[in-house]
Amino acid sequence: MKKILSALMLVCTFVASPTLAVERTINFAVPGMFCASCPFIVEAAMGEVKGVISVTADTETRTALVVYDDEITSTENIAAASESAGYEAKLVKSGS
Amino acid sequence: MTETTDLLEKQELKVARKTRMIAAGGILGAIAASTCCIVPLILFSVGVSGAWIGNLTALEPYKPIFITITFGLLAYGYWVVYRKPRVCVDGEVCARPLPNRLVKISLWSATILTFIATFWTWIAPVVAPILLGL
Repeated sequence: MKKILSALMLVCTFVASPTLAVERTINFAVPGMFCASCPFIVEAAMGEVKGVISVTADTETRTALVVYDDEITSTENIAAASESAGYEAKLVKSGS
Repeated sequence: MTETTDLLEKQELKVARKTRMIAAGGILGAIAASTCCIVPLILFSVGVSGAWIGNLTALEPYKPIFITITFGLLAYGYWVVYRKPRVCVDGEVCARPLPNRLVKISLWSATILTFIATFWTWIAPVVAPILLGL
């Protein structure tokens, strides 16, 4: 009985694991983010991309920290969304 | 008598034209002052987007210049529109034409817009999330 339960738990772990390991955090440089409303526009533009979980834009450092699901979207899509709103975004750092 | 009336009318027209020009200048200045920061937010919130919006944001360094010029124009405009009428002396041309409502509305609108542009750093964090649904 114990062996069956262990086997079942092992199977469940393998089935559930793909949904856990796809979140990535990346940092974009957004040099055109001068004004007070710019970070909000960048956040809204990047946040509209399907697969983006969160966006935190900062005017002082002119960067945007993005958490996204790399199975749904890519860094190119996120950068393109920002550029189409008028703010060029360049990938500066790739994280976990 | 007719000459004096003509002279008065000419002066009235001149002052009216001047106030209209100042009001128009004030409006243009207010728009220029808000181009970098307020206009992109409004455009994006109504669904207008494009890489060209970045050109508007690039005007941000000139914002203090636009604001200074606009406030100067508006101050002169208010002085022309609301100054106290001079006491008339016989034989002196001193009629003060009544400024029309459009000029006054333009001056006040430009003033409000310029004040919003001036204090946008503190207004944006309140307004932007509401407009963009963040």
